[in-house]
Amino acid sequence: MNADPVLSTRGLTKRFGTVVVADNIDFDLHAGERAALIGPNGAGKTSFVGLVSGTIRPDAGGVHLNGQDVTRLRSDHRVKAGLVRTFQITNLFNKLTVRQNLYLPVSERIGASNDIWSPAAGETAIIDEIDDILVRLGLIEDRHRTITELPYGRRRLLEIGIALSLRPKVLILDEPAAGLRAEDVILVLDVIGRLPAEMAMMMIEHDMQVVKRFASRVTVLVRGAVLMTGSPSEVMSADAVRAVYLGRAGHTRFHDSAHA
Amino acid sequence: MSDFAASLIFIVLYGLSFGMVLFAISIGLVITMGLMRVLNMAHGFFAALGAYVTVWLMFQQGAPLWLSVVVACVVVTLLSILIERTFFRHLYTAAQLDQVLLTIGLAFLGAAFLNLLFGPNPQPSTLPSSLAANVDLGIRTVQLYRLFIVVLGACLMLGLWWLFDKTDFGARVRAAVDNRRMAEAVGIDVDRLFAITFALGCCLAALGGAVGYAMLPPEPMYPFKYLVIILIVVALTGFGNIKSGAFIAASVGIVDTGARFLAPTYGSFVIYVFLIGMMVSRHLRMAEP
Amino acid sequence: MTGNATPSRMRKYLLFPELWIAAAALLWFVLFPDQLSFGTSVLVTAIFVMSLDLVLGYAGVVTLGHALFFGFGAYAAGLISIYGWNEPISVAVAASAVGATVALATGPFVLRLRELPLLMVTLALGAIAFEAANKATWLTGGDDGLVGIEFKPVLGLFEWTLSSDTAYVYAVCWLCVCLYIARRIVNSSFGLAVVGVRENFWRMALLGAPVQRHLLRIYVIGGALAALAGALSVETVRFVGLSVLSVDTSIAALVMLVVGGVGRLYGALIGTVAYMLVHHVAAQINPYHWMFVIGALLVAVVMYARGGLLGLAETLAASVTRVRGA
Repeated sequence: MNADPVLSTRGLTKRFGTVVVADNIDFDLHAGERAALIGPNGAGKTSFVGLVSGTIRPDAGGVHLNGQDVTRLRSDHRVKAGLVRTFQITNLFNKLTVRQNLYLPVSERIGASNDIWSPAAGETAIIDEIDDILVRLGLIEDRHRTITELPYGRRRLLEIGIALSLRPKVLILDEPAAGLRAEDVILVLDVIGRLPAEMAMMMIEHDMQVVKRFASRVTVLVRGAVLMTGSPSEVMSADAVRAVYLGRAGHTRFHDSAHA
Repeated sequence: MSDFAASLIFIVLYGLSFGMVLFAISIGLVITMGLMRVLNMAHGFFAALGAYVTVWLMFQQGAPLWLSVVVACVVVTLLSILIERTFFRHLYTAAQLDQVLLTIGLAFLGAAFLNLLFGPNPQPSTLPSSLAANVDLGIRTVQLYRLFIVVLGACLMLGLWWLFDKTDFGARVRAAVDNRRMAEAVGIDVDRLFAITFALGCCLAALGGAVGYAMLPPEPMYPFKYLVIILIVVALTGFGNIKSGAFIAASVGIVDTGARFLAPTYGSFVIYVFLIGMMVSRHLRMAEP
Repeated sequence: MTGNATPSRMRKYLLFPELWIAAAALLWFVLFPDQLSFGTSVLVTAIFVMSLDLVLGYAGVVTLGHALFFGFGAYAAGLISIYGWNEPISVAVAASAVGATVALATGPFVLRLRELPLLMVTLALGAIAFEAANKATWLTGGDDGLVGIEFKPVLGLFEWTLSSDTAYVYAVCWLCVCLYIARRIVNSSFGLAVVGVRENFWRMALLGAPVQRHLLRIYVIGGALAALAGALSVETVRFVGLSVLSVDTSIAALVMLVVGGVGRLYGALIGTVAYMLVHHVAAQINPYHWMFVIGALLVAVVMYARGGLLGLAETLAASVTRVRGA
């Protein structure tokens, strides 16, 4: 594992009125690492992602990407710097086709969008790359359909596809499997499993099976603060973590996962 | 020195009265745009109709000014309710371009309709003798009419302030402007609120057009002729911001009058440059890749 | 990646649309030899409306001040010819460069605005230009406009005639060139990126796209083409008046575009032809009655035929193929 983290936060803090959504968070992510962020609802997981990706300005603390201080950098500039996140609420180009939705990020990434003359339909390299991603996501049959014609689950898959097509150095997945049908979950997990080795990935997840399968490190967030960090089995057998997940559902999930 | 003071009074008073008429006409648009988020290019039509009905009643039917104004407002309000229920309600969820197109279309229809009814020429816009009289303020004489408008404008401001700050209705409108979904969630009938507010906005426009007929004479192109300056006031005021509306309208009136008076050649530019400056500085998107 | 310029269904039948346009224009030339000056103005206006489609239809920039570029191009062409250089093709190109410069100068702040502020500023810029031209009679001739404009024969061979046949063919050639350029741009990766900016500004930004740069680029292209149209109108009519800068001109172009179909390029062509034909025939009648027509058209298009005439034609074609296939 590389010494310097590709993504690191120090003392990241954010308050909305009296509510502390981020409490002095220190977090490191190294190249090739697969991390998971878990915690009860309202723990501030999505806010943390917002702070890291730049859609929320912190009150205190900083974010570093590849050693560069990006705390003041706008979110779209962070994307250019290699930090990409997915959205739980899909935010696609609804009137465009699936292929066109993927064409845009690839074209921006390689600078093809500056070409005002060559027909886009003739860019075989780009189209091949797009179709490759579509095949992996099982969306290849839908490539000519517009987003409005696409069922919700496939839109979520496309969101992940867009994130991948940007070839980020750091990929943040916000509950990638949530709300998907079983067959789509399999596709997502397959894609996650085949992410480039050098890519650093962090996911917010509730499903402990998924966490156990992919994450080498789990961070538990409670009320905006880091409760503990460790390997999946360490975290899931910790009493402090169990106590946080009160209630039969959480307890059972933990119990089953820890003893699966 | 007295020359300067005389000019100053002229600019302030005439600019202010112009501003008050603009205020009456524009405030309805400020509210409906703030509430319904509809870019309404046809708003000037209601003011025009108010002016037309007033003038027609006064000069063709010999009615007194106050009665003509009241009738004009009632007529326009009723018509506006009809138009809102048929056309405008479709615009609440429409795309911005659609709103612009539909309302421009309605403005064209309105102008054509006015021409059909009243002919292409500007209507007589002489004042009744009671208002045409001059008042000696010492430094200079001014038309009573102008003072009347300013007073009326002040009353209107107070009335609107009371309506929006002190009444239930006003509270509901402010809530819906701030956060429509939330307002609906707490049980405010936003649909009916829209209809009432739209009617109120058009009534105010008619009032402005009606009392301002001597300043802005009725003619078929009225909705287009004054569209730009009305939109200027609205754009500078911001949506739903009623309190500053009067101040902004007054400023626009004074700036425009003053500029044209002081520098007849270039005065007409000033208001546009002023607008562009304000818009750009205020609305410049912070996030620009 | 069609960029929505041509639905793939129809592409088989169109191949080179410029040829079809030229053929249709030739037909008009043959059938109505005494209506060529009208035909020329239709062709020139079509270029103007097409330029608006790039900015408004494709990029989604709702502007009420596109005539600014048309007017600048027109006055530039008129002034260049008066002050000594009157070779038509180079003047047209120079004028389009003027338009591009104006767009480059105004774009950076205009394009950062949305909705009402955008409308207002574009309106205001147009109004300022109009007022300025009105006041600067020494330069623009004010109300009377610029007269005595002469241009050398096209390519040194084709004299400008009273019957406008040179002007007509000249305009057809320029229209085909502009259409070809517009098509290439719209179907390119840049064209798709512009559509992306229109469809979802924030997502484009989050894809790392330089949205302002994309917008500025298409705005400059649109400005250049509009100015070119302005220059062509001066070259073919040999007169520039204040109307080239008026709000009426901007609104008329908007109406033509909407009637034809926004964001499809060909909609601009169809809309211009339809609008100007009807206007030509009905022009003798009361101008206010004409406003009834425009008003009713706009309302009807927005409420019932959002895709304009082009959209209607496609729906018709689709239902015909459905019936055939059934």
